[in-house]
Amino acid sequence: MDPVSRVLAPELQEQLKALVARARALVLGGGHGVHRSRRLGGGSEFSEYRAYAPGDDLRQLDWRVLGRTDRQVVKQYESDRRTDVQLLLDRSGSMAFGTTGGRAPTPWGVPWPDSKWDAARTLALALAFVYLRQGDRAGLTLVDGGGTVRLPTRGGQGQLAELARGILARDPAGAAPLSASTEELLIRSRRSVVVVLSDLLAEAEGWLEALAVHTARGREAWVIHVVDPAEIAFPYDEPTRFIDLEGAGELGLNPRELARIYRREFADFLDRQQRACLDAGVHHLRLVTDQPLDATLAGFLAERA
Amino acid sequence: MSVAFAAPWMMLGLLLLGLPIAAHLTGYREVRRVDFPTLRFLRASQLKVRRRTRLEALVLLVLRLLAIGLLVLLFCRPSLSWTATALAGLDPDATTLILVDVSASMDARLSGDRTVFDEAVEEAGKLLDGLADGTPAGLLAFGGSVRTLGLGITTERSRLRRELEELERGAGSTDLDGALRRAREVLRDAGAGAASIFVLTDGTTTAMPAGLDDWPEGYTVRYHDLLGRRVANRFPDDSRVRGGQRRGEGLRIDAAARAVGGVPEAPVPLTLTLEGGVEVVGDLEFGDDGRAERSFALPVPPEGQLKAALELPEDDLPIDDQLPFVLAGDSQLEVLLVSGDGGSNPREDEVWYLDKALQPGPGSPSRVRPRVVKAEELRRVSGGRGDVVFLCNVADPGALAPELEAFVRRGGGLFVSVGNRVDPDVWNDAMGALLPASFTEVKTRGRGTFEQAPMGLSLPPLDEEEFRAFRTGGAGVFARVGFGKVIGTAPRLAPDSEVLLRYTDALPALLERRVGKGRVVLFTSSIDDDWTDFPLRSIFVSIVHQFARGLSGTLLLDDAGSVEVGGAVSLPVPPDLVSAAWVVDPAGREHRLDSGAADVEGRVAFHATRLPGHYSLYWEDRDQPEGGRLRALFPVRVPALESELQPATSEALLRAVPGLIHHGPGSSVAADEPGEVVRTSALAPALLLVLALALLGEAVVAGRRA
Repeated sequence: MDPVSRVLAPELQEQLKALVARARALVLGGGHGVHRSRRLGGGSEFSEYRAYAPGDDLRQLDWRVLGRTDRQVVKQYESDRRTDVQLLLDRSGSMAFGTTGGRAPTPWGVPWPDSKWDAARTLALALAFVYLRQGDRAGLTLVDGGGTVRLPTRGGQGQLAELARGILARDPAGAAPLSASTEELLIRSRRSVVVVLSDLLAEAEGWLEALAVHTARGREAWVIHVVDPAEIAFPYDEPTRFIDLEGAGELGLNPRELARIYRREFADFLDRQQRACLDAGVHHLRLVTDQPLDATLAGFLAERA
Repeated sequence: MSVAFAAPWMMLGLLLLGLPIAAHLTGYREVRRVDFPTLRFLRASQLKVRRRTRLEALVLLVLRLLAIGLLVLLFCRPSLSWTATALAGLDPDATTLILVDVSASMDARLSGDRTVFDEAVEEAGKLLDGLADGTPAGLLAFGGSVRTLGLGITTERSRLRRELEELERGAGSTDLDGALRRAREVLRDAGAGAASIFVLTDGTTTAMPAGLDDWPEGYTVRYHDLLGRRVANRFPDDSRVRGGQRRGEGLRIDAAARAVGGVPEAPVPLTLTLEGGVEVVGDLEFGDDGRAERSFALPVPPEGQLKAALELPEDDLPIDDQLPFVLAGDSQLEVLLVSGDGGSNPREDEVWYLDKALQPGPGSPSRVRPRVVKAEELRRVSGGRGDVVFLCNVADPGALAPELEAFVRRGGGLFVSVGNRVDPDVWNDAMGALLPASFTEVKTRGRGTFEQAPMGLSLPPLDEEEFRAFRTGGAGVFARVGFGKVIGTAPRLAPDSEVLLRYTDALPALLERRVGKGRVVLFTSSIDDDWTDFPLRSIFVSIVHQFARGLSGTLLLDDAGSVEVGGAVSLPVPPDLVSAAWVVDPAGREHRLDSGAADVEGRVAFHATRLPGHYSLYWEDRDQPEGGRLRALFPVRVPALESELQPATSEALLRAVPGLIHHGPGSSVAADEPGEVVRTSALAPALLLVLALALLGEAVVAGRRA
């Protein structure tokens, strides 16, 4: 089985192809990607007038307006251009947690993810699939306890297989240096759309500051918060020894005694992360692994369109 | 106190207590291991709940241990036994009723200041303390009357304890009969089938039980005579006051005293104390019979009624060392009877009936002292307020008229009766300033004598002071009094005059006129039996006394007599039934009388005679707004039988109350028949209640943890 299909089920690939076709019908594309650049300036699609200022390119001056009204204004355009998308995928040990794998496939035949990692990598490759099919370029950074693996940003369908191979190379393990990896990624990809897929359980939270700088420069950044439903509902009621997936020890306890407080704590955590992202101008999506993956993908694309 | 078990082998079940302990120690057994990503949240949560969960676990363990323990105990069928009291033979299921004697003799000293009453209260306390829990009990205090303390029969021993602590000794007699009857009544009301009745007394009884032959078998009377020694008691026994025959003469007070429990060898000083600070001391020498007498002479008698007392030095029974009495000094009413028709035979004298009615003879309790003088011998009239002159059938009062008028204006009282010697014209001329109405003519009815006389007296106004005595009877006699002749009076009355009583044909019979500070009363017929049979009628004595007292202007104090402590005395209230009346007791406390409860004679019963000493009755008086007007004075005395300290004998008591157990002098309740009574009570209901509470608590805590 080819690596892409190992990550993206064929049924999901079919859905993605249909999704891309619908997107093309809406936005004409050629050698350029279908995504609108956030950079304003030279391009084909008029955006707005503004008063001429010394230093402006005289070619942008609207002479017809000057002739009619004696006012010096320049035209501004949104340029259609190729989009680079940088996917940062958290492969830390905590991403290996999952409780939805045993479920029956969705009505479209798409299997449920075994773990948060399974869900995150599927969604990451799906996003790459969509971008690459639209002629954009995609890059991937994998962060785990072993360090950071960066796959170069390229276009073309061959890139999808490269990305899939990179994803499949290792299983989640250790604690991911998310903050450092994000900063490094953003330094290299200052003009790219950045999508971080993580459960955000890393202790350090500096990664969000880096993304905030990115969005402050007028770039686009996304955080897809991957959560397992068991993390929210904490459905345990018998004395259990919980072992930290990132090697931070273990804890034996009676879940009945603290379930209520835990749920409140975790809900606060989810809200806090969402609010922090929004405050930083970072788009936030929550991927709960018992929710259909295509719904999250559709939400992402709809918001970007 | 001990606990017994009907099925002690079930105690083996206590081994089950190990189960919750084992569960508690090993209860946390991890059933699985889970790889989990959010351990830091679990750690944070655990920190927050750790203290609470540990405490809950501990509480849960305790409750479960308690529940299992109680369950096992229930199966063992436990019962609680304890020693109830030191009184053997006392059925713990029977009601206990304690009768505490609070009579005067209970003031007898046992040692120092400790009285028999103190001993009785202590013994009653011991009894209460010794009773088994839940034993119904009650307290009665008896003296001259019987009082149920608290709520009657109750199991609230603390309540009875409080009642006992607040109990005060009285000074009355010892009505053992009434006490036992009340005890029987209280027990029957409480539905007690069996009862132990403890009588705590000094043994002196003034009213022995009688007619208790149908005494219930289940009610055992234990009679404890707490007076363990012979008490030497001396007490003033009697006082008699003898006054001189004339106003201003001295008084002689004969005092008698008795000694019981030993005759004093040395003379004992007896002190006569009079209100106002007068004290006279004389020695008493007791004879072998324990009696002594002593007379005190008062050459200058006090005026009016005075509080007086005879007092002996303190002895073993101090309460009766003083004998209060009222000394009536010169309050006796001087009445001058002026006879206008002397006659040769005393019985034919105009004032013979009047004199006899006012002072029937030596030994009479009447405090009116009449003095008869013939009209022709009377040269002048002196006096004033407090004096009364009866002018009876005087032919010509002209010479005396100015003095009589002055006498009345000074406050004297003048009673005028007529007869065949009275000439209306002469009288009108001479006494016009005093007569309520001028005379017209002599009117004859029938034959002119009282025999077959067709005219009587109309019904008197019974609310007037002079006629109030006839409220209870005698008013019908008025109509039967026969009058053959009367003197008519002019319809127009003199100023400040009114008709008090009329004949049956509406002619005025008694008229009154106020002149100055005094009063004139005119009787329009004869005061002897010439014209009327009025002097022969039963109402005559009362009416002339009332008019003599009324005309004197100084109202004589009511003689309420002496009363024994706790006894009732009938006291008059103001006739308007609106003005206030009150009694001041020896302690200075005022007791308001309820005028609304007055009987037809205008008297109410007064019972608050708990203290020996002098009591004063006051009526509200506009002229004396603060103190009121003294209306009666009466002494309240300790009953003599209480002073005699004669204990009831076993034979007499046994005869009176079947089955009575008599405990001899000085017997103590606690020392009596030492023994123990074991009381048993099943613990199952209490255990079940606690078990239910424990299970409920367990459910709540466990639910909270879940």
